[in-house]
Amino acid sequence: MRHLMSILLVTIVISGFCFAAEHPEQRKDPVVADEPGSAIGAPTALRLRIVPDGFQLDWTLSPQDPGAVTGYEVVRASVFSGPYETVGNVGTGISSFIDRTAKPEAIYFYKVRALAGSRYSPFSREAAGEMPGTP
Amino acid sequence: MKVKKVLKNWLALGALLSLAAGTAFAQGIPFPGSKIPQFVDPLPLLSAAGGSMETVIAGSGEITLNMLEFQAKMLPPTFKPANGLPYTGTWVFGYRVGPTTAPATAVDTYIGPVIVATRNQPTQVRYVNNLTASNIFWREWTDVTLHSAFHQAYGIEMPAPFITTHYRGPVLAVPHLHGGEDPAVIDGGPEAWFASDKPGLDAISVSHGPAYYAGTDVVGTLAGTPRAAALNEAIYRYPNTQEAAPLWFHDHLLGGTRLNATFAGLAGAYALIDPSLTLPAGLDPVGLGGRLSVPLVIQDRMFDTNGQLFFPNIGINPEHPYWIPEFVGDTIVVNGKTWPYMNVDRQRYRFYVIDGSNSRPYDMFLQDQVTGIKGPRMWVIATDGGYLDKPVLIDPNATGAQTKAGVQKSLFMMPGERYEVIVDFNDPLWLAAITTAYAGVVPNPLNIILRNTAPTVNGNPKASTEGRIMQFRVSATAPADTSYNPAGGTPIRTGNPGSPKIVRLADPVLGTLAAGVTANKTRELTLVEIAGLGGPLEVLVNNTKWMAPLSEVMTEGETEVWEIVNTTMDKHPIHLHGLQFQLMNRQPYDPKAFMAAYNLAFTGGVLIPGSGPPLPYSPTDVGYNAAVQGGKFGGNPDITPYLKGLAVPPLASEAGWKDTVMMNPGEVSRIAVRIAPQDKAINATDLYWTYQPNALNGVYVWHCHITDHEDNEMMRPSQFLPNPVAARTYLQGTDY
Repeated sequence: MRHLMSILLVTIVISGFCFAAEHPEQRKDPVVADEPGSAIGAPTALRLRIVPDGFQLDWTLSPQDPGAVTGYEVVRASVFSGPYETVGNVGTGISSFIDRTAKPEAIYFYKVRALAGSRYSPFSREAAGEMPGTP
Repeated sequence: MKVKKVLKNWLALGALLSLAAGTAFAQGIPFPGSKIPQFVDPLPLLSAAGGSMETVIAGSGEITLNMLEFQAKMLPPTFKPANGLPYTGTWVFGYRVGPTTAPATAVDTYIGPVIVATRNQPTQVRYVNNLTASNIFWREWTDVTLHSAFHQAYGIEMPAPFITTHYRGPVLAVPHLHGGEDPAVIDGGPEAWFASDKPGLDAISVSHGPAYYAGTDVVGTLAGTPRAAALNEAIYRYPNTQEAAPLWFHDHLLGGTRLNATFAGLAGAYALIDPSLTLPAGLDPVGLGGRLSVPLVIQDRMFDTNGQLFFPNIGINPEHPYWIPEFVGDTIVVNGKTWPYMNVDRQRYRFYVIDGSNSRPYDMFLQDQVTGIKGPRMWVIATDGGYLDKPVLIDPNATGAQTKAGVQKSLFMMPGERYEVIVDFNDPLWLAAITTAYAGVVPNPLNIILRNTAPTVNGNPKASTEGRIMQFRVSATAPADTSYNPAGGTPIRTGNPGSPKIVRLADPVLGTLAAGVTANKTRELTLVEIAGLGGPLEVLVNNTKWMAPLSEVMTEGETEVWEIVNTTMDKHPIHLHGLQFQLMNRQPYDPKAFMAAYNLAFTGGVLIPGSGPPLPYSPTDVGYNAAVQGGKFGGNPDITPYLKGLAVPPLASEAGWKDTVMMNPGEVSRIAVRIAPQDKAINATDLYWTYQPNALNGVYVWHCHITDHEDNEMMRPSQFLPNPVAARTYLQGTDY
C-alpha cells in the first residue's frame, strides 16, 4: 500500500508540473502597473473548497508579499466571462478568505489579486465551486 | 494488483506528456456576450429553401458525412478581434457533405446537415472522421480524468484522478442518431468511437473504441462496388422503421460529448418523414402550406476576445481539473449564429426546435420588443418521437382558467429535447392586441423576440442577453395562407386509416398506464449527486458508475415502468437510447425521509459513492426484500411510503412519444417503456423490431442529456434481449 501511495504521489507531482507548464498564471488579464519596473506579481495556486458556511479560498502569496503588497482583493462572478464583483479584501500576509455570501446550487468563479497601495497585480487563475443545496 | 498496473500506466503517460506539455496553445480572454451586437445576421435556413444549412434528401445512395474542423461565421461581421486581425470566422467542428477537405474559407453555419429520410427506406450514412484540432482549442478542454475515450485511446482502461495533462492524440468521435430505433451496434454509442486519420500531437495505441462497428456497405454491394469502411470511418445504415419524427444526430464520444457535440458543433437534424401518413390539409411531411419547416437549433456559447470558442475549463474539484458540472454560455446561438433574426410575413410557419446546448434549458414565448405585448401564439404539433394526436396551444396570455385547463404559457425545453411548433404570425388575437398597443400604426417590420426565462446554475437569464434567443421581423404582408391552422381544431392524427393515433402506453389524462397496458417489470432508479471538495464530483444514475456491469437489461416485447427518483437539486433531461417511451407522471416525495432510508440501506448506514444501489437489484437476487423494495427492480428502498401529493400527468406538450424527458428535483418521474416498435398495438403479438436490437452483443445507453453530466458518469449501458418469437428481416452483415 505504501508503494502504491508513493506512485500516486509521484503521479500527482508530475501532473502538477504539467499543469504549471500548460497553464501559466496571468494568462487572462493584462498587468495593471502604474510604474515601469514595479509590477506586482499575482497570487498563484488559487484553490477552493466548501466549508460549512461558504467557500474557503486559499492561495499562494504574491512574490512581493512581504514587500510592496498591502493586501488582496477577492472577486466573484456567476458567469466565467464576468462581470466580477469584489466579495472581500484581506490584508498582507493573509492567503485565505471565506465567502459566506454564495448561494447553494449555483456555480461561482473566483479570482484574486494583490494590492499595493493604488496598484494591482494581475489576477490569479480562476477557481470555481458549487455548494450543494438542501432538499 | 490491477490498481498498481493502472497507476504505473498513468505514471508513464504523465511523464511522457509532461515533456511536451509546454507546447500547448491556450484559449484567450473571455469576451462578454453582452458586448456582441444582436440581430445582425439572418438565421441560416435550409439550403433547400435558399439558405446555407446543408439539406440532404436521403435516397437509395450513400450519404457521406465528413467530420471536419473549419471556420464558421458565428459572430456578426462587425466583430473586431483583439488580435487586430479581421474576423474570418470561428473555428468549429461540423459535419459536411462531400469533400473530405475542410472549406477553405468560413461557412455560414456549422449546424447540419439536415437529412430528410423516408420511413421504411433505409438510409446509409458513411461517417468519416477527418477532424483536426489545429485551431480550435479542443485539446485544452479535454479532461482525461473522466471515464473517457481519451485514456482508452492511450490503452489505459480506467481513468485516474488529478491528472492535469490534456488529451493530445488524434481527435476521436462517434455519431449517434438521437431518438432512432436502430440496432445497438449502429446507434453510435459512446464506446463506438473511432479516431481521425489526421495525427494528433501524440500517437495513440488504440484507434477504435471497444464497441466500434465498421458497418456494412450495402449500397456499394448492391452496385457491385462495395467499399469497406476505412479505419477512420463507420457505415451506419438506419432502418427508419419508426414513425415520422424530428430526430437529430450528434457526437456521443465517451467523456467528450460536451466538447464534440454541444460545444464544438458536431450536430445535425434527421427529419424522418412518412409519405404514407395522412396529414391534415396544409400540413406537409416537412413543412406547412408548401413552405419548408425551419430548423431552430438553439445553443449557448462563450467566445474569447479573438472570436474563438472559449470553454471555461476550470475544474471545481482537483480530481477532475477541467470539468465543471454545467457549462452555461453567456451568448445564445441559433443555427450557428449569435442572436440571429428571421424575416417573416404574416402567415404561419413550422419550426423544428432542438435544444442542442450542454446544460441550458429554454422556457420560451414570443414578445414584442417595444410594447411588451406577448405573442403570437404557438402550437406544438410533434414531440421527440412523432406527431401529437392534436396540436397543443402555447399561449403566453393564457388566462387563469386556461392554465387550469392545461394551456401552457411557454414552451420549456431541456438539452436533447425536440418539439415541432407552428407559429401564426397572423394570429388575430395577437394582432388585435398589437394594433391597439401601437394605436393602429404597427411598425413594418414589427420586431418580435423569442424570449427565454429558464434559470440555470448561473441564475435567471438576463433579459438583455440570455433572455433573448432570436428576433422575428414580421412584415405587414399577409399572403393568402392555406396552410394547416392548428387553431381550427382539426386533429393531426384522426385515428382513420392512414392516420393512426398514438399508441398509448400511458394515459395522458390520468397519468397512469393506459388501459390494457400492464408492466412486466417496474424499475426504481435514482439520480444521485456525489459531493467533492469544491462541489459536485460527479452525478450518477442509480449510484452506479459507467464501468459497472450491465444492470438495465430489458427484454424485447416487454413493457416496463421506470420510476426515476431525482435526489439531486437539479432538473435532469433523461434520455433512453434505442426506443421511444411515454411520460406517465411526476410525483413529489419527501427527500429527507427517503434519503434517510436510502442511506440506511447501505452497509454502514451511509451512501457509498459509486457503489451501486444499496440493496439487491433484482427480486430473484439473494437478500432481496420485497417488503422493503416493493417488488421492484433497481436495488433501492421503495419510494411509495415517501410519496407526497398527487401524481401529475405530463404537460399536454409532453404527452406524446419522447426519448428525453425532464425530471425535476424532489420528484419521482415515471415513464412507460415498451421494448418494441412504437407503432405496434398494445395487444400485438409481434412486439419486435425488424432487426435484432442486441446483435453482436450490442448495448445502448441511458443517461442525463446535460452533456457535462453524461461525460462524467451520469450514464449507464442498457441492453434489449431479443424477443424469442421474433422474425427478423433486417440483418446484421446483410442490411447494416
